[in-house]
Amino acid sequence: MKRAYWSRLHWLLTAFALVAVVAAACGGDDDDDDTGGDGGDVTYGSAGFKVVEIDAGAPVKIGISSVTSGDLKGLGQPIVDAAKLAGEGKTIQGHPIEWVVKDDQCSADGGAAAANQILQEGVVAAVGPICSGAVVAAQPQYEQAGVTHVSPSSTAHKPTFPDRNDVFQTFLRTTYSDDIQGPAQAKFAYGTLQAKTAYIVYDTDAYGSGLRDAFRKAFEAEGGKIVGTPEGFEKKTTDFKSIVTNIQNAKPDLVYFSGFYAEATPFIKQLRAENKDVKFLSGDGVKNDEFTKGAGADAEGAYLSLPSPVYSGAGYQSFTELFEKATGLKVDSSPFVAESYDAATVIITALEKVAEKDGDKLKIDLKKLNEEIRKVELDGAAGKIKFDARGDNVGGETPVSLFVVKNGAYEEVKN
Amino acid sequence: MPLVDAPHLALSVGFWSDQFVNGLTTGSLYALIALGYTMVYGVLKMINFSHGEVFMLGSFAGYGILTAMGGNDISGVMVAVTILVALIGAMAVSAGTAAVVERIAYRPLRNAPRLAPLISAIGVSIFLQYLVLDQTDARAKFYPDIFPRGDFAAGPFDITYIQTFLIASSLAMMVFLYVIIQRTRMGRAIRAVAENPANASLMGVDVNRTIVMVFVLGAAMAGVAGVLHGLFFQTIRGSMGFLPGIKAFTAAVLGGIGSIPGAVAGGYALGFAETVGRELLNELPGVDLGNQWRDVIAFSLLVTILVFRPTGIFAERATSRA
Amino acid sequence: MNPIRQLGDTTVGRLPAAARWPLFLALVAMLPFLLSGVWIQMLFFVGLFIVLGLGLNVVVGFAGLLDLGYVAFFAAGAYSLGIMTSPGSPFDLNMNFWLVLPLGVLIAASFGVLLGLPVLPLRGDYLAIVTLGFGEIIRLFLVNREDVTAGSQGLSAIARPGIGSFRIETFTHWFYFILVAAVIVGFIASRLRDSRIGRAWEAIREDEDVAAAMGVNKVKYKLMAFAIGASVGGLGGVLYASFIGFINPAAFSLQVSIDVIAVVIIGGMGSTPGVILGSLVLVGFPRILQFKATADFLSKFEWLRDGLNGIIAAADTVVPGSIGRLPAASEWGRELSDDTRFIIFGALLVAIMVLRPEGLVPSRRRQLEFESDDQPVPAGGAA
Repeated sequence: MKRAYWSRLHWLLTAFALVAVVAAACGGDDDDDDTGGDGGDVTYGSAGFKVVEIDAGAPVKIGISSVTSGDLKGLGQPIVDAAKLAGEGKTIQGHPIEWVVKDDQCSADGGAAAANQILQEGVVAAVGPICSGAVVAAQPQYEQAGVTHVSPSSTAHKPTFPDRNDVFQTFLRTTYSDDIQGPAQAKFAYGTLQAKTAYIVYDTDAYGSGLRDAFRKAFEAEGGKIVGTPEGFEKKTTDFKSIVTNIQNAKPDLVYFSGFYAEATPFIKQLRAENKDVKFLSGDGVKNDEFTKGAGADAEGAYLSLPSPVYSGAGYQSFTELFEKATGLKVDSSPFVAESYDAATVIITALEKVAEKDGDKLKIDLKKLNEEIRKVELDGAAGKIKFDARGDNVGGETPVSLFVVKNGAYEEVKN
Repeated sequence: MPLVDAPHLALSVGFWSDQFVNGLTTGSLYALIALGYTMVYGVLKMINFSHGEVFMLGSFAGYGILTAMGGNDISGVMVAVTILVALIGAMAVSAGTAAVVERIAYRPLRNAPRLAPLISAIGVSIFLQYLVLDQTDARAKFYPDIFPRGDFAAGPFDITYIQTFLIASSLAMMVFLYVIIQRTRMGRAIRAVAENPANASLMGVDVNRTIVMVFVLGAAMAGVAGVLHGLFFQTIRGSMGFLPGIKAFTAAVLGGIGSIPGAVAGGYALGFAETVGRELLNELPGVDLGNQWRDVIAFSLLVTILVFRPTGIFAERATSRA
Repeated sequence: MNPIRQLGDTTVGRLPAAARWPLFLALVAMLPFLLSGVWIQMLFFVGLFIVLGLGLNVVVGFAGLLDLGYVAFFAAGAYSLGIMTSPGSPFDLNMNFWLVLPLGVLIAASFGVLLGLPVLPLRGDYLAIVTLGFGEIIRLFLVNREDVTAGSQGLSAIARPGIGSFRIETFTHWFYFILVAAVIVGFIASRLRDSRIGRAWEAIREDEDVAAAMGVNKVKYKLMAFAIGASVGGLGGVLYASFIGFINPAAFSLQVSIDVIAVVIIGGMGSTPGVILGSLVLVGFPRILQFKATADFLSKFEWLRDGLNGIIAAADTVVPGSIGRLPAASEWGRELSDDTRFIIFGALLVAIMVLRPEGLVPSRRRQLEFESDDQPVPAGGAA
């Protein structure tokens, strides 16, 4: 009866499914080439700047859009705490500072919803969002409201090189984009470490894949070769055995890992169990104390980059003291907290200059505030800060520094 | 633009045997977790979505015990002792959690519409996962690095001690479970309830108690899997239960849900598909699948097998009423 | 059958029933005049999940096919619009929204058939895991085929609809847009349910083999359910992508499928008011907790906090130990919007199911079915 019909259909479908999977998979990792470019030739869209009046005694509100729930809370909460520290004991011409903290869950929806809530409370500026996905989704809203926001941790290419033609005037960041870190890593790998071949392992999220592209492009431009198939993994992956076996087979000079410490830790343990010699290079998502603590002896000899100059100036010292006292966390184990403190400092510094007394009210022109924030130059907790026309931080002279793990601690490597 | 210059030439025997061992390790964990899904399904016809979280709690229990007993400082014979204690403790915590969850969230729904227990299970899963995330500030915890390193060669295979331990203890647990189900009174009761709860009840089987035992046994397996996972991969976190849970469930369905040998077969099949299977596909001309396609391969295998055998490899009773 | 309910249906209930929906919609349509932006944005998401819930209801509620991969169709719609209109897309087609809208729905529907074909012989939980896998495959495709979808970097500046020179831009515009979409989908769904097709689905849901024996074409009606459910999912995806303006694969995780199915089941399977209530509870409530209005409202309960803290302090003196005190009442909403929110959400799902296994507003027809149907643990052959 129907049996014959079914089995024929099934063969067809299965063949189709297999073809589909193979077709879906091959030729997948083509590079798209809109990376790079300098800050020049920038046109802005029209931002909806307004003048905000604050009643006598009322607080000046600054928004913070970060992750305060779920898996990424460990990243987002310290960033919130650090931003708040920047306002400690400060007032804007006698008006207290009030922080409006909203959870953006690091997602596009969350970023847009948090932006809306933050803007509705009448903030004059904001710190965040901290994830690039949330930034891109929220940018149009901040732009429309004319509220300048400074992200401490969005490193993707897109926020300062948007898909549309106009650059967002209201967006800036105190961290450095992947376009700076990737090439510096590639130069270090090829030049200093003398690695001619590299094997790429990357987190498939926006951070990991963005950094992967920047590194690959630059490494190949240097003359290096990528061997094997770049291996992507999803967050929360713990099983890297199969990847390690492939690395063993490809025999690269160097393993390049773009991702976060939570996955880097099990990865390097599994890698070192089989291969003690291959060089390991990774970036800011990995360089913190959790990694050296978790990976222990296996972390020894790992190279890590940080897209900021090694900085131990007064700003860093005082921030470290402040942060560790207030939160009980190590600055080193909490990525982007110094950048967050700087983002808030930049905003407050500009506010102090721009806010004008108007009778018993305080008047803040958001357009002037935006211009002032763009002009700020300071020695922050994470290093020198200076913005280009796109809102990228170009303050550091040698913006990327490199480290090697020695005896469980990070030691700077001079190029 | 192809990224690979010389695709997969020099693939040695060592490469394939290594991937085989990887498949065996991953498959063992999937199989252990899948047992819980399949047993509960066999008796209640329900997808126990919270099983992945029971596995996660087992892993955390093991972590707690290992750290409390000295963490990285444990050495010598004490290593074996603490790991044994951790395994037993994890089994107890997982089993206890599952029993409580069954009582609160599933038993009242035994006669409810078919999808109600599913949502209830999803609720439990979210509850447990976020409870642990909240308690740990969503930070990863690292298992103490106490298991002796090193490996030995057996023919073409090069197996580390920890892999041997993981595979052996998984198999031991499966045999243990099989003996319970097939050889004991309680096992008979479980089989009777799975066959027909009304009849079993008429024959004097305490159905409620039997169902609790099913949850407890399945959870104990997951607890062991949790500790083995922690010892082997060393990183654990509150959200770790989700993915292995889904994979193990896939494995259970692959094998024929409700069937215990099916869960084991499905677990290993999935483990091999993700490791050896991917490399075999990569041998095809023009195919170049990175690790990121691993889950796609796993689920495609599932669809392919179900198209031919709509009730899985080991369909328990292949009646027309699927 | 309950005679009183029957009476209610025929006399008291019927007359207002005709006016009930228009009245309800008129009230809903007035909301933008009463509420501020954050509320309207929240209501957009509630409306979106109503649309998605109504679509999934066709598959799960009407035809009884448990679909855990609904997000695949949502993604198909969203990415249709994204790929065809975003300037960042690898194929910069710069198409018009209104042109892509039907295309997106069509593409999603063909995905529905694509999924439907191989799973036709599967039942129950086998279907559940295959659809779940399908949803994951689609997401992984979005992540990893970067040459087609731009991968995790996402697509931004997605087209928004306009009619002549009028552009649908503000939250209020979008609110009405999604309202219209929900009404159309709800209307079509209810007509389908009461049609020949709906009865065929019901027959398949109750017993496939009997339905087939009675001459119901299983293949046709099952595929139809998948295609219709999928096209509604696609519609939701197109609207979502245009509203939010930026999509990346992270927004299309399994979580979305679970949320939509929870909306359907919590509300009451097969019931339209159920979907509305389910969406309000599951999508609206967690967002409301974060609002400033909530904090202002809660701050009126400072006395309650003082009282509770008094009790805690008393307990603390009797049983020495450091028990924490409750935070300021105005902070409760924010505290709840932390992880605690999910802990409570999980517990709430369990509680609703245990207390009302048929959902908050069970469909009347289903309710009757459940009442007449008191067999114990589902018996019968293997899975």
